[in-house]
Amino acid sequence: MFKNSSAPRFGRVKFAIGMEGPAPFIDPGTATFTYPFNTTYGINVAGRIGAGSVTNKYERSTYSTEVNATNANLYVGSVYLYSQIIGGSTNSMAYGGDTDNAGAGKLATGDSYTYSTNTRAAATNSLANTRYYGAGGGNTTIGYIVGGCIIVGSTNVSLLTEKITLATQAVAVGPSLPTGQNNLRAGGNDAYLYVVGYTTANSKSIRRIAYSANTISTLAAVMTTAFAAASTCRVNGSGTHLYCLAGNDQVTGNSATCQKLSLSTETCASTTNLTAAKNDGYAQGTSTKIYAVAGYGSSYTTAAYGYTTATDTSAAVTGMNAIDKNVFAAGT
Amino acid sequence: MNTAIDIINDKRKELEQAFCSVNAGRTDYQIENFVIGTHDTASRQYQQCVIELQTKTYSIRRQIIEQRKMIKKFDAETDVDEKELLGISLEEMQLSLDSEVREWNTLYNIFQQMPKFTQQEFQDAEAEYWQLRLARQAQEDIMAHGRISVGNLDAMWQAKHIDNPAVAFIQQHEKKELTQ
Repeated sequence: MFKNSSAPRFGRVKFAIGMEGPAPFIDPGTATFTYPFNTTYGINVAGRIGAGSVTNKYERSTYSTEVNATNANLYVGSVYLYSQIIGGSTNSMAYGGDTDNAGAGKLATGDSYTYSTNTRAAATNSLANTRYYGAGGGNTTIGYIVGGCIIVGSTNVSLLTEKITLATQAVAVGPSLPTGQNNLRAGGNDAYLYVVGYTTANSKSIRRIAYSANTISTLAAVMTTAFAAASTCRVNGSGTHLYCLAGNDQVTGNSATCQKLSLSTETCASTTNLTAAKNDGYAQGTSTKIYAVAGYGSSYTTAAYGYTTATDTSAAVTGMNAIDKNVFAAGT
Repeated sequence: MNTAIDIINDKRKELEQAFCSVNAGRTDYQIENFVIGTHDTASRQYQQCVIELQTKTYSIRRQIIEQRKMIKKFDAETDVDEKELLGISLEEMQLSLDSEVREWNTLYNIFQQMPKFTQQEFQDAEAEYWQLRLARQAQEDIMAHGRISVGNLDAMWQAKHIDNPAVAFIQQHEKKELTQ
């Protein structure tokens, strides 16, 4: 089958051959973390295709085959670029965004996507504030839309958060951030949502929202590198770490630097770089791999890199590349 | 008594060597086993290696130009503090570039040892690749969770590696009912 079959092969080929026979039974043990995302499909919504052009398309990627595709004739109702998304296992909610590039068309409306039927519908309730450039995140039952710009112009930073109950789509006021933030990212476990990103400058601070108490606090620990618009910020499948991959450090510009926050000790450590430097992409992922897709590298890019959390290794995954160069899209 | 910054400046040379020897790029082991070796067939391993080399090649070329531009800016800068800040950025840029070049060398060494595939040969090897990959993923699902995930079942059905799992389940269930 293969040309020059005597030539050395690497890793997997040897491993695959050795995997014949029945699989041993392994007790899954007691899980303390419920992965809050859909593990079959990833979606990304809207974004900006090149300079000035806004799209409202949905794209859907299939994790088992690592292939992304335009979701035929599925267009988001009213959420546009810089929108904020909450990932769920059965449905995802995208809120807010902007219909132009400067905040003049900012929105409060939401869109709900259902994985099993591959359909979308307008969210029952809108946010209390129109906003874009914020972040979304949560656990399997509760999501928060955090910070962003609520006034026209990207320099305005909001400290307001809004809490969404996924089962009822009810929107309530959440705790305020200590300072306004935009260009931020959020991810968390069953109990807490961690928020990182820009304040009045790039910040190393890590904020923590407790779902049960609906309160916010600042961690004693800080990030190893200050980032804005991280390419990806997402918890791994076992719920042990929050990975913050690449972003803009405003020193050397786009950076490939990656770091991970241990959620048990709440300490941050550097980890292996992303394949290439970029920011403002969107995140997708399974329980074993986090994808940092699209965004801005040296220019708008569709490139997807898969970050395997078991080995902290990044590799290009071309099948997961965005269909459009949709920087500022929301993905989950 | 030295201030912290004096101590840091004093130890800079010693640390710079350490910065060069340990950087945040992927190790050769990671590249070989977890980047290239992640794939089940030689054709896909070859493709992964070429894509990684392509990404690194363009990234290095861009960084060299960025570095050249920053050197020009550094030379023209008259403000002492701004010049020092540019100098630090240049040092960081060089570390990043060194890391990328080291990865490029590792990838190129692997590339040289690999069997090469034409586009047609690559396409012809795809059926076997997906057969091996989806079977492995299903096996990993069973080992980790006790059952095959929806995504992998769906993909195996789409690739015609298995019959429609729902139909198979119903047929099995009906057979069981009839024999009771």
